[in-house]
This record gives sequence, C-alpha cells and structure tokens, in this order.
Amino acid sequence: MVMQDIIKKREIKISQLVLMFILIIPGGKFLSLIALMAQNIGRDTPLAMTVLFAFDLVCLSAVLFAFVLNKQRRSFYHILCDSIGSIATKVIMAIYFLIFLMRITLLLVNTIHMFSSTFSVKTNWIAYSLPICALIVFVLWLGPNTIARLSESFFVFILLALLSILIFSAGQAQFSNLLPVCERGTAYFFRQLPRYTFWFGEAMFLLFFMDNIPKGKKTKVYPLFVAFAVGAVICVGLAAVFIGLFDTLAPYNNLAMSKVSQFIIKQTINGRLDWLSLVIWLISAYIKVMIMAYCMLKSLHFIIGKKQSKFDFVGACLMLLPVLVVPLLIDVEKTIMTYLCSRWPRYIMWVCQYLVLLLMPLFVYISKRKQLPKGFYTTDGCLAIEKGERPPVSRGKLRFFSKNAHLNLSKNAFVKVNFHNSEDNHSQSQQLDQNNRDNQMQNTQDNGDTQEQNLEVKE
Amino acid sequence: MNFLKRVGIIVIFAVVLSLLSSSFLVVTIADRAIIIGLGIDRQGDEYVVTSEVLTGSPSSSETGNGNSFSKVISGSGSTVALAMQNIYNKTGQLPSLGQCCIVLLGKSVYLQENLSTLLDYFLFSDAFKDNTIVACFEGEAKDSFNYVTTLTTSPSFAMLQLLQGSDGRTGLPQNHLEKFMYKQYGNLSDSSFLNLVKFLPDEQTNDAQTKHTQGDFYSDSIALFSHYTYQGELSGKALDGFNLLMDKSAVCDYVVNDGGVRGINAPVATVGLLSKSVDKEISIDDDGKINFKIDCNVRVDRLRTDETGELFILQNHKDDKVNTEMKREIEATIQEQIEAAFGVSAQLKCDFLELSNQLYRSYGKAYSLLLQANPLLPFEAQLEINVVAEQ
Repeated sequence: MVMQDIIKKREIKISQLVLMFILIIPGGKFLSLIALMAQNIGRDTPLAMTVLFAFDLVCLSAVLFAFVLNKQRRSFYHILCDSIGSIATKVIMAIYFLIFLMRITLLLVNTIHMFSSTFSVKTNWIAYSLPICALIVFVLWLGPNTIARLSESFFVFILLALLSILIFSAGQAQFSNLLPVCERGTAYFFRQLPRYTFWFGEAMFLLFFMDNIPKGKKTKVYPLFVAFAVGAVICVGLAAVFIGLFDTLAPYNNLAMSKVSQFIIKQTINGRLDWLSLVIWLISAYIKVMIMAYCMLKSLHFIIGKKQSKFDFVGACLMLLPVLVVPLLIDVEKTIMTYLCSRWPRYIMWVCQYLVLLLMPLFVYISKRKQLPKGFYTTDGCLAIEKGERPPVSRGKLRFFSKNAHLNLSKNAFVKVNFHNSEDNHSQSQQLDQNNRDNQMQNTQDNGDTQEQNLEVKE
Repeated sequence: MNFLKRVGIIVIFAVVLSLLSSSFLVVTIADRAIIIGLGIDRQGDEYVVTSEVLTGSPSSSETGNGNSFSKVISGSGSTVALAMQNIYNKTGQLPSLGQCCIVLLGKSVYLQENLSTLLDYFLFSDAFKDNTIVACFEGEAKDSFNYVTTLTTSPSFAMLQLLQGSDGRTGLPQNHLEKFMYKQYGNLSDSSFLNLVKFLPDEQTNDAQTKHTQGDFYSDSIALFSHYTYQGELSGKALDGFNLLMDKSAVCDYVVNDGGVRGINAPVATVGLLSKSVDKEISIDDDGKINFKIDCNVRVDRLRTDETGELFILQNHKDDKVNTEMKREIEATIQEQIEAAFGVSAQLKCDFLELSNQLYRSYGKAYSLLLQANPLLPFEAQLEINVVAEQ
C-alpha cells in the first residue's frame, strides 16, 4: 500500500505535464530576460526570442521522440548511465543541479524585486525566501504529483491573467517600433543570441519527468508541442508588446512583466487592477520554482546514488541552502550575465541544455539495447524470450536484435514470456504478463484455437 | 505529529521570520499619503511639488483648500526627489505614488525646463505607473489643485476625465509618461507632445468667502516638445491635421453648406467623421528628396442629437444625405488641415509627424546618414495629398 502510494505520488499524466510546460516556458523570461535582451538586442528582442525558441523546438522534438521510444519509462539517469557511463552521467547531473540552482535563485530574486518595486512591499531576502523554501520542501515531500495538481488548479486563472496582461496592453503598443529588423546588422544579432541561452532549453525539464509518466500507456506527445507553441507565442508576444510600449527606453527597465501590466486597461489609469493580474501570474513563477526544485533534488539523488523511495528531507533542505545564501553574497543577475552567459561556462551549460537533449533518442536506443538480452522482442520492447525457448504469446510483430536475423511471428503465435530481473521493469513486466494473458484469452475466443510456433535463432 | 507540535512549529516559524525580517511595525493605509495627482512648479532655484492626497485618515491640510475627499500638500527642494522627501518630512506619511494618475507641469516648468531631468524620476521608478498622464497647465500647477470644478470633487480626477475623454472622443490626442519620454530618446524624430490644460473660471459661482475658484478645466491644444524642451503650441486646423495623420481615433467635425438637401432651408450642416483610413507612403527619391504621399479616405455623416462629435461605425444606416458639394468641401478642409500640420512642423522645425521615424523604419542607417548631412530634410518633404470623402 505504501509502495503504491509512492508510485501514485510520482505519477504525472501527459495532460498535467502539458499544463506544467505552458507555465514553465514564460516563467523567468517575463521577469528579467526580455529587459536584458532589450539592452543589447533592442528592437529585435522578439525576433531573437523566436530564433531561440526555434532551437528549443528542435530539442523538444528530440526529447519527445525519446519519450516515445522510452516505453519502459526508464529514468533519465539510467538512460544516460547505460549510454555514457555512470561517471559522465554524474558530471552531467551535477551541471543540471547547478543550472537549476541558478535558475531558482534568479527567479526568486526577480520576484522579490517585483514585490518591492510594484507592490511597495519591502522585506529582506531571508524573510522572503525562507517561507518559499519551506513551501518547496513541503511540496517536494508531497511528491511531483502535487506540483502537477497545483498547475492544474491554477492553470486557468494564470492563463487568464497572462492573456489579460498581454491582450489589453497590446492595444496601446506601437508595433511599428519593432522596425527596422536587425537594426545593428545580422551578424551582430546572431553574435548576441548565445548570451541568452541560459533562459532557454526548457525541454530539459521534461527529461526529469521521463519516469513519472504512467507505464503501459501509449505516449501521446503532440499536446506537448501545442503547449510549447502556446508558451512560445505568449513569450514572443509579450516581448513585442514590451518593445511596442517602451521602444528605446526598453533597455532601462528591469522587469518587463511589471511594466507591461501597467497598461492592461486604460480605464484603470486611476486604479491598479494590474496588481491583481500580476499576483495571479506570480503563482506560475512559484510553480516553476517548485518544478525546478524537484528536478534539482532528483539530480542530487542521481549524483549521490540515493534511491527515491523515501523523501530526503535533509537533502532537500541542503540543496536549498545556497538559494538562501548566494543572493546575500553576490548580485545574482549580474554574475549570471557576466560570467555564465558571456564566458566559457555557457558552453558547459549548452551540453546540458542542447546537446544532451538532441542526443536523447540515441541514448534511449542504446539503453534499450543494453538492457535487453539477445532474443526476441515485441515492437513495444517489453517482452523477451531467450534463444531457443518456446514461441511466446504476442499479437504484434517480434523483432530480433541480433545481427543478420529477421523473423516475423504470425498473429496468433504462442509466445512464452520472460521477465527481466531489473528492478525498474519488475512491476511493469507483471502488468504486461497480465495483459498478455488477457490478450491470449481474447485471441482464443476470437479465433477458436491458438497456434503454436517454434522459433529458431539464426546468427 | 500531534496538534501541539504543529502549533509549536508554526509559532517558532513566525517568531524566527519576524526576527529575520526585522519588521515589527505594521504600516497601514493611514501611514501612507496616497497621492492621486502631482503638480510641479519652479520657484527660484527650487521645485515646488504639490500633491493631492486621498484622506485615508484625518490629517491637516498644509496648503490649499482641501475637502473631505482629498487634501493638498506641497513640498519644495532643489530636485523633484527632494521636494517629495520634503512632503514626507512635513506630514510623516510615506508618499505613495502608485496611484498617481496625473502629473501637471506648471508654466514655469514646461516653458523653461528640460523635462527629462524632471520626469526620469518618475519614469525609472517601478512603483510609478508608466501610463500616467502628463500634461501642461497654463498657469501655476499648484493653483490647479485649489480649483473646484462643477461636477467632480477632486481636481486631479476632473483633469483626468477631461484628458481621458479627449482621447478618442473629442478629437484631442493624449500622451502618457513613457510615450512622451521614449519618443524623444533615441528616435530620429525626437519630438512629442503634452496636452495643454487651462482653467476657465465661472465668475458667477465663485465663493469669495472660501476662496474657492469654481470653473472647469479645458483643453483644446497641445504643447510640442523636442529634446524634452518646449517648441510651441498646436491648435485649430493644424491640430486636426495632426489627429488625422497620427491618432487612431476618427473624430473631427466639419461645418459645411447644407444646400437644402433635406428640403429644409438650413444654411449649414454639421458633418462628422464616421471612419478614416490613412495610407502614408514615404520614400526618398534619387535626388535625396522626401516624397510623402497621403491617401486619406473618410466616411462622413451628419451629426445627430445622440452624438457629440463621435460617430460609431456600427450604427444603423441613416438616410441623412451628404451631397457631393458637401463632400468636396470636407475633402478641401481635410487637405488644409494636413497642410497646416506640416506647416507648423516646418515652421517650428519639430518633426512631431514622425517622418524621420517612418523613414528610418524603411531605410535604416542610410536615412540616418542623410539626416546627419541635412537635419532639415523632413521639413522639406514634397507632399501629395489625396482625400476622398464618402458617406
């Protein structure tokens, strides 16, 4: 019962992942990124975002293809371990840990800035971030399903707040301010782009949820493409409205969201209805922080080799300690822009933000091959028989992974099922065993009797 | 975990948080001076900032008449920031500018000062709304908060209603803080405008005992700025031409000869714009001259008693006729209006029609170089105006 609860807490439906993904994409971009981009790229900020989102789309396609291939729902870490070895995997996980740490810190720094400047609520960093960290630990204890449920509960309100800010402000924006395109030349434009990749590569979040999707179901990934498109359009739209509203003064603003929201409705010129929209939207920033914290804790567990069966309270608290301390010591935004985004560390981040994502289908393929012993497998990759064993039960085609061997089973072939001993696949194999029995019974009822077919392996 | 432990954790957490935040005092709304309108004047070397403050709690009025809705408080200093600080020193209440809806610049300020030094204090403050209306006041801005209007209690709200209403309803454009500032920063046209507000006293209703001057705020012109300094005024036909070319709204009324169209021998008819479509095509020819072609298509109709200046496009069709002579008359007037706007632009050397901005969007740096060689280039543009009026 306890084990079932743990599994249930960890499971996230694709529909929930879609909502989370829409909330993740705009997150920090609305606060600091647009204004930072405007400082160097100026009028071309929306165009620059479009280009970077295009890169993200390519990476997302690769990740989602990996999702489809990963029918065994193996974790990101195990897939990487099978492909590049455990040491390299731990190094990559450490980089992910640092990326998430910096992103959480930056996002929280931006939100406190928004509170103090927009709502005139001035407090110190510790007093602001401590309760949020406590909330994060609490949510992590409840499991990722809680974050998914939070996203579901607030999604409509957040989206409405977001769209109200975007659409109503757009009425007052002068979009001709976006011209001319590539004002300082195309070469300059493309030279500036790599400085802002820190805020992109959002598909990497999905990697940490690879083993959270319920097993035994067909993975429909196209809603995630739609989610990405929605998130990207909203981001680019907000950047366009921001430039349309502020034009040459855009670089002098710190937080695009609090600036744009002031224009939501002209009639609120003697009121602050924008505060309501902003407060609702801020919930999405905190949900993003929770998602990043979950990914961070997972990468920490992968690094130290801890099993995720029990909640790691100490680990969760320790990993959030730098979030509390670092902003007291350094200017987070300046450090990220000066050292991480403009110098060599960005190349290391690109490995995790882009390269790993692009190679994920290959990693999954390698992992699958390494995991399964030589023998016959159905196309779903879950059933296996050893060489020379009796024909198994299956309704689908069987595929042989050894060289120079091709074999197709007839539809009603009787296949004996062998289960993997791997811990990860155990419960799944049991489930499949039951499914196959059901299939077998169904076949028998449909076709009268079941054929038996012997299989031989030719190598 | 039992109940007492949970309560204990919550209490410890609250105590630690209070200690960490060093915040033991609650700042209530009564501790804040919620400012809804600001006026800025210059007196000698100092700025005088006059603020209309909502009365959240009983407070004394330092200057002005005040009323139960709001009080007027002034502060002075060598900068606007110091003048604001002076208000805080006088009242002990934190000036809260997040609700400020209008900033009025007195004559002593907008005619002589470079407004960038004044307004950047507000622009770069996140708490101050960027879409706050900024306007010029013919007279001392300080006085404007002492006037009593016929219909509205608060002078700030009275001016706000006047200027908000003007945008899209009475044919006057309206400008915000951020737009006013960015139009003159890094843009080649380098010009913008502010509404010019006047006060028309109603002598019959003035109360000599309370020293209240009753009347109405009024605005029928705009003040033009370039490099954040005052250049001149735009009113009458030139302002109508500016609206036609630059404003989204289609509000303009024309008095034309009636000609007995409806069988009633009325000498004149008032016709208003129903909609407008202005296509602006700007180009530079081989000789480096600017050609500006304007195709203006307007739909007009007679004004009715249920309309005051603005006609709505989706209203049901009326059979009131606007004959060909009337249309030609309107076309000629529109042409005059546009030419008048260009005339003022050339006379003041103020590119408020934003020709340079449009050319920069089309030609990029090439136009910047041309403009550097000849700064008067936009004022030497060849105009070609085609106006078509239809009912």
